[in-house]
Amino acid sequence: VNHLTHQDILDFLDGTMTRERRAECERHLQTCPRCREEVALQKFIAQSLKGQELVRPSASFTRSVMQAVLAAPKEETLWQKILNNLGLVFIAVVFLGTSGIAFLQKAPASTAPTPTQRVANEVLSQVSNSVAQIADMIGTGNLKIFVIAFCAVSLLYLADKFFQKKLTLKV
Amino acid sequence: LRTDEELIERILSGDTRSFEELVYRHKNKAMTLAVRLLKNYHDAEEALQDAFVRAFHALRDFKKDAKFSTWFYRIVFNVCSTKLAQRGTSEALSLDNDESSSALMAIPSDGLSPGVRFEQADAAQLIQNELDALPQSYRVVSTLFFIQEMSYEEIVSVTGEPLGTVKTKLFRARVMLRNALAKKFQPIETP
Repeated sequence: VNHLTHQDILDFLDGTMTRERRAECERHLQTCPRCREEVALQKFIAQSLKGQELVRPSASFTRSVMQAVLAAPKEETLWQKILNNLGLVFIAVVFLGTSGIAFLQKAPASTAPTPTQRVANEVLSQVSNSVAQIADMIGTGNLKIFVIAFCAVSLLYLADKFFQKKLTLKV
Repeated sequence: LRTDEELIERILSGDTRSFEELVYRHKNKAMTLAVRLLKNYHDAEEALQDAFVRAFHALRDFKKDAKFSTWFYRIVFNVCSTKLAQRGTSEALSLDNDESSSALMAIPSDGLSPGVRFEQADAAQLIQNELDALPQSYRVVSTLFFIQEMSYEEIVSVTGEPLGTVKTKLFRARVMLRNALAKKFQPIETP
């Protein structure tokens, strides 16, 4: 007698066999008590596992999850990230802006400036005028102090971002 | 009663409290999976909490064409895998710890005879114990198939394994369980 294989029995139970093969299996099962027993056994295993009692987390679980969810920082959008790093953005703009203008403004003396260089020169002269006005208002010495302070704060800020921890000044 | 998808919509529009309903709905089945994976209640609860928090923050990435439960079990599976890896390589959730299974492919000739009878309560307990004793990856697919009642395709989504591998593992696990049961409950001779 060709008994059903394990695969046949499981496919039969899962309904994953062709109609023809299923009909053959059904015919065999009508005449084979041993294979019927095997089918019953696999059915019993499936039912036992499906009927298994679920493991419940502790009574305070849902509350703990909600507390953790509400306490955890929300995922930032791109704009939030930019806003939270406004200092970094400002420093980057100042640095890139001044370097860019300095680069564009550089032109061989013999050749006429390109339109881009003319714009760069214009921007630079505007910035120079503004800086000169500020210097007139607060005094050149104070402006130097301001620039040095700005550089120092920028460096501290960048170091803070780089090491991902707040730097504290020890007195 | 709101569907999971409706709850997710509400959460995404700012109603954080709707997440509580999702947690309540899925915690027991997910906990059962985590306990089966980690074999430790405390670790499982910790992993599950972590999984829920991750799910909450990743809800925007959830694709509506999938079931939330499948997507969430994938997160539980990943968190538990990481935990197992931290415990040590021997316990890690290696998905290719197949055993040579030629022995379990054939129905033993001294297996269950037509006259076999067994105490169902004892047998059910034995099956649960045998499930716990299965190799890790077999236990995972069996739990997802029987307890989480997932289809083969959903198990593939959770474990990331090829369909053929999932089918093979489930097949072997079921044969192992059958053999354990047959060994324990010897046939009763019919007169």
